[in-house]
Amino acid sequence: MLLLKDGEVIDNPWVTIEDHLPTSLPEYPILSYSLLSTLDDNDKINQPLGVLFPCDLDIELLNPFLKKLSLIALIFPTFKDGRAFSQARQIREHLKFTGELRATGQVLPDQYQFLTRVGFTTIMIPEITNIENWKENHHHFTIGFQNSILKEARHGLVRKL
Amino acid sequence: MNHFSHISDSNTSKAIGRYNYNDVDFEFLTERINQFRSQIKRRLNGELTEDEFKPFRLMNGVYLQLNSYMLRVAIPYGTLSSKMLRGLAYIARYYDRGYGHFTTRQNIQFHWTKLEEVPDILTYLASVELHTIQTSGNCIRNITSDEFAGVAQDEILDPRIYAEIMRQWSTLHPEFSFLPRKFKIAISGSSNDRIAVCFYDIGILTCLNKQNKPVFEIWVGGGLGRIPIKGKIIRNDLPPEHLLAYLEAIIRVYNLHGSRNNLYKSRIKILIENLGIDNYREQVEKEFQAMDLDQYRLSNDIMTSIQENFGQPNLVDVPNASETLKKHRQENQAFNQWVNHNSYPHFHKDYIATIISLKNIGETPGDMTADQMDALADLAEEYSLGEIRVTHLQNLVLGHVRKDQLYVLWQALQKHHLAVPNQGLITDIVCCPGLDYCALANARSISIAKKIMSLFQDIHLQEKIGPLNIGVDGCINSCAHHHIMNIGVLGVNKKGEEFYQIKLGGFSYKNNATIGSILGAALTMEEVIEAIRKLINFYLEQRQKNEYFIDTFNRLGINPFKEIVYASA
Ligand code: HEM
Ligand code: SF4
Repeated sequence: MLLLKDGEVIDNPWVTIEDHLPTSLPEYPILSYSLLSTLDDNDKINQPLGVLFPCDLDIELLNPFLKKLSLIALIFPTFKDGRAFSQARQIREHLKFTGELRATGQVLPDQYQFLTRVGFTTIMIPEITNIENWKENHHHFTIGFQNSILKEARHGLVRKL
Repeated sequence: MNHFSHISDSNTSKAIGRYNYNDVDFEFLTERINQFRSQIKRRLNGELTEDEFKPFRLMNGVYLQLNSYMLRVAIPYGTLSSKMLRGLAYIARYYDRGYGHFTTRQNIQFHWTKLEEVPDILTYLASVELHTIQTSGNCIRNITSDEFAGVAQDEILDPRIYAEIMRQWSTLHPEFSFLPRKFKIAISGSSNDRIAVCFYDIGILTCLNKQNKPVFEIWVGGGLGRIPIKGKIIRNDLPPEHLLAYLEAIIRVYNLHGSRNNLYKSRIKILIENLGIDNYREQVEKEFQAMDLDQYRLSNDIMTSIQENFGQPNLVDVPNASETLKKHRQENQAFNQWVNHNSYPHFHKDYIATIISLKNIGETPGDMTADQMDALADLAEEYSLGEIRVTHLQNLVLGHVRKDQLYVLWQALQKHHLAVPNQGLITDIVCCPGLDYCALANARSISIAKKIMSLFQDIHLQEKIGPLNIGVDGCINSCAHHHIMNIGVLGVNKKGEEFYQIKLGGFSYKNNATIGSILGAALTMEEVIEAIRKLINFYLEQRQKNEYFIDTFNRLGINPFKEIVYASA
């Protein structure tokens, strides 16, 4: 998998841990939410922490962990399942989370601006992908009509993307 | 055309009743079309699978049908300018077989297009300010409205301004383009329901609150299809300035919790049935309270920026207009008959609105030829300030006709078979494409509609029968509203044969909104026609003074009607 930010491939230092907790955590661990929620005293953790949060749970559940989290990864089971678009928005607007928000699962380049406009900053994509498509779609549209996390300049309903 | 004496300059420069595009809007459409061109290219070179391509194709209004690709063009809030209608005529003539089909969702469909020609069609449509964006797919669809917007005497505010705001807001919405299922919104600026408000995912009426300020009454969770459900009121006092915030709250809750693994359970109506409207409302209110309402507020500046792109009708006082119309009606009986059935009062005393029936005996309901489109575009320019509306019952409306000119207009309409005097009568049938075109159909619907129309073609008989609506659907999806018509006909498949079920007692509008009841076992096409003949005869025998079909049905109940159809069979 490749990690994409602002249309460019970047290094991914994070390691996802889904099954059970190792005795010592890697430097940049992303814990599945079920593992995260078993940490009874997350205050003790003094290192970067990420979470992989499922698309069928309420993002309010992240509240107790928020101060510790540097990264939240959301899941698109298929590109047609748009729940994570709403979760992302709620995480930015209601939880006021400012760290890395990562899209995982299946997403298509044609969705790039939707992703960034609801608050995602990075995207995991398969290695075989044609990166040029992602680059092109990153700024394909120069006009939008909705509020967005990017707070683009607006005139009436129109935003300059 | 040199009859512009009654149209001021501002009107010739801006189309009335709708938002006129500016450079930004054209630029946006170009970007959209380029994106779709590249998606088609990626599909053809194998970069996109059919499964991946399909949602993008649908979001551009392209369906794969029985015979070819179908293209559905959005007509936002059902308003066309003469220029747009000529644009549609051009598409019908050069990319289709010379006609188009108007739908109950105020769209138009072209059933014979080629995929490789679609980008060119889109480019042409864009030049007349039309597009196909979100006419299909699991996203917010074309926003529909009241066909008498800006005309009706009971209007509180102009719904088209809000419909345009919703059109822009819903276009490529970053959060709501991959919903569990399609999402349909309709809005009226009046509190009297003319839009079938209880049968949309979201339906909006306008009322006055105690302080005499306009507020929206918002209905959610209505719909037809396999599981027809009447919507419920989620809020009856929403200040218009919060419309977008409230819609986002409603749709966000749906996007997060609507079913994603069962096609038949994924509409918002099912979620609301399961949760209960009170629970749903609570979740929406919670979301709404948490939102930064200032970001969403429809400020005066925003309202002005939209409104100033709408052309305003320049209505003038015409001495003796009413008297002239009265005289014409006395002099010509056929004209009088047409006015009786196909007109609607205008708030301006010297104007009248007229319904152009697309229900010609022998023709497919809702179809219009390219020549008719061109002719009507000219007539609209001459007699109705260059504006045409599409109704949710597959007819058209000219909204602003001077009463003294109605007679001349009628004479001209007749030449193009556009003056059928049957609006609201038994031959004004709503009909889906059915098995002649649609890949989902069980049975033909157009043939049934044509047979019923020819059975009752005598206008005196139609008048005797009185107001009555019929909807004919080729399958349970109910594109022609059969569930909520006085008489609904539904195509079903029995061991590979076409059969039809009859529903009675449906009603589309708020005060008596009712989903019809099944009359009995499915019948063949011939039997259905015979059954409808019997039902109508029985009603004519039984009806009491001033009763319409629906009243007699409601008084007697379904059983006697059942006996009439099935006893002798
Ligand atoms: C020819 C291609 C068409 C296809 C494939 C199609 C497909 C569908 C489907 C699958 C549904 C059911 C949605 C559900 O139950 O969740 C539906 C509903 C509906 N369609 Fe169509 N349709 C077509 C044409 C039309 C036409 C021609 C009209 C108007 C005459 C129309 C208007 C509607 C309306 C009003 C509904 C019911 C409202 C609701 O969504 O609950 N459609 N359509
Ligand atoms: S009701 Fe069924 S047959 Fe008719 S157009 Fe809709 S999906 Fe097709």
